Amino acid sequence: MPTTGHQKEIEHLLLNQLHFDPKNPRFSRYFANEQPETDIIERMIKNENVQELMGSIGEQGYFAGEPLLVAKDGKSRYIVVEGNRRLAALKLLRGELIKAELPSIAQLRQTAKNIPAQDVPCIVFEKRNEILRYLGYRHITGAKRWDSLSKARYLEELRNTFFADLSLTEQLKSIAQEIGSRPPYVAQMLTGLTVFEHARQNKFYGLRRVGEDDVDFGVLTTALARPVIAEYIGLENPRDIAAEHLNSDKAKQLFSWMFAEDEQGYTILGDSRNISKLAAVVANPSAVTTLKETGDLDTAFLFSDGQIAAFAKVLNVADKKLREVFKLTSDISEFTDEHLQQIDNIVNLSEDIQSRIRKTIKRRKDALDD
Amino acid sequence: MTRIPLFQNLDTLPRLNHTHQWADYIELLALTSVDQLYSRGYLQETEGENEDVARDMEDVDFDEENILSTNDEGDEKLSRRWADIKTCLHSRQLRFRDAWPFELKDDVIYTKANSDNGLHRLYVALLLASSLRYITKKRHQAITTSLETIGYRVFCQLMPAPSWIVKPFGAHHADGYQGTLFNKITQLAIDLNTRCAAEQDDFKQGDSGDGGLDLVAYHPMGDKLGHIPIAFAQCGCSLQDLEHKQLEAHPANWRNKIHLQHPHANYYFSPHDLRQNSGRWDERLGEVIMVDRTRIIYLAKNYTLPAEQVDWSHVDEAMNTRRSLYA
Repeated sequence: MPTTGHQKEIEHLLLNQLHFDPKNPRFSRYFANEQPETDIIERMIKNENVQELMGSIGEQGYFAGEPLLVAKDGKSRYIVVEGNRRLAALKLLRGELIKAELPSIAQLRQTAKNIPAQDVPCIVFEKRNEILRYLGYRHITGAKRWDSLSKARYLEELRNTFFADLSLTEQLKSIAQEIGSRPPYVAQMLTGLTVFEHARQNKFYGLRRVGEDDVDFGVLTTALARPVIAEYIGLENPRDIAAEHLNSDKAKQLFSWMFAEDEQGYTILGDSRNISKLAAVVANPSAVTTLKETGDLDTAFLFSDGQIAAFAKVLNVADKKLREVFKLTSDISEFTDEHLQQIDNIVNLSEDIQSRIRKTIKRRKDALDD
Repeated sequence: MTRIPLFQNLDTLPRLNHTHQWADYIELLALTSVDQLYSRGYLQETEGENEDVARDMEDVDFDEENILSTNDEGDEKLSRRWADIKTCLHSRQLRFRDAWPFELKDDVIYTKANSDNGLHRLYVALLLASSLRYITKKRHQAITTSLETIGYRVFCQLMPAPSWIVKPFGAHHADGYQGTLFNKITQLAIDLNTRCAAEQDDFKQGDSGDGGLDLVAYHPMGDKLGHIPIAFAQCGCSLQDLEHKQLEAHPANWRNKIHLQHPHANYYFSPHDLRQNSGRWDERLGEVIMVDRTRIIYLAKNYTLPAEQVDWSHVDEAMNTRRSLYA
């Protein structure tokens, strides 16, 4: 964790001197450059559940031990770089943002036992950058985390602002240390951002119904963490941040499979848990051909090696579970007829599976002998 | 007299990993919220506080080398879950159009349920029937009965009078078959111009259940010779029981009760939106004509079911609930 303000004194600033951060990474995906204050407040209330914080402050009072981290922005104006949710909660409790009123806000203000004072404990920094490094600790690995794209954009900002002179390995190591994570994670997030930005700059390859709001960055990075998917679009591996050989056609295909919706809002990928299936498909050229022809992931999956792998995996799980059952039988003294019935069912099912596998193997051997 | 509350455990997350069920949960929270909206930020808080994690989570597994740290992984899981829910909600916005009593905009779902809109009320009735986990047990019967009524109305439109005759077989309908299960089957056999295959002793004494059959439709074809078109239907709210309940009205389950000269059609009415985000069925379906939420709404629109037929107090109560998350 970087050191911030430990040596600095806490100052009490008036609420009307404090303003929301127009470059808040949390909202970077919604606004191109500057973030209008009214829009920020609306998002804080509707998307970030600031009411929960209002309830807590209204009940317990404002915890002065956690000052807002602010940067100077003119003579008596300050930008809150860390603590924007708390700023919104305080202003709402004091009735300073009536325009953004919702029934829950009015209720919380009416029932609050403690209306916060006009002055708020803050630590003042000369520049926004001085606070920037602290944000990662709090919003990437700390208590109040951002969404994946905000995190990735923040990591990129850290990299460019503080570590641009270091080698890539050193950059990743340093950023990981700052945020309390590991270099592969940082690399995967930055790789995801490279691929996302490439798509964005290319207007999402002209795909119908695919825009910035339709591409979930978390789902994209989860897919790209699969080496076969990363390699399919021309990355060397899931941590290829430069992505020099990114293949636009293949990236377009991947985005169309994952995010392009049909008239009813369905996607070829469907739920994100199907990323495993998609990985199995892209690993096999004939499965990819099938996916292109049919647009049906389940059908394409039949042509991949994934089914056999899935069967082996489930078989291993069944084996493990049965061994657990066997272990437990030595500790239990009272069994019921229902237990016995269940075991009979398992035995019968196992015999059916055994018979089916034996027949398949025999048929294959006979065919080879012929 | 104090009325038993309609909702319970709304702070508890869904147990199963069906995206449509999570989307239902989010819709229910938006519908009942004092602000008439819900978003990712609220779910994040609930997930953080809630220890009742999904039991059968089927997660994307990573190679050891690619595994993210525990916190990162938890975040990605939430991010993926919300992405799946959002895709599902967006699909509903496109599929149900004006019948969907919500609006999805900028990652926030807003309620726009209008009690004067018959399709909105029908949708909410189906949403409640899909969400019995969040309904107080003593209020379940009104909701399951409402599903049977919805099924009956739709079935009547699919098998229109006067050619077809549609009758409730379930336990809660005064205008359907009466008496014990054996009596009901005997009366049904007479209607269908065939004979009963079961004996009275085959049933428990006083069994007045429905034997897994809620609705019956048949076309008499102008004579009493049998060999006529017949359809049986079952309605069910439970997602977990769907696998076997979809076959309760199947010919295989009725051959030993009634002699039919030709296998009847087997319908199942489910209030759930049984679709994956890929558009495939979310459940493995057997020999059944599945009428899920999408199809019920489609049929209701197609046949313009009169609004007054969707008039249940629990629907109004749900639409008028304004639940504070914080007070």
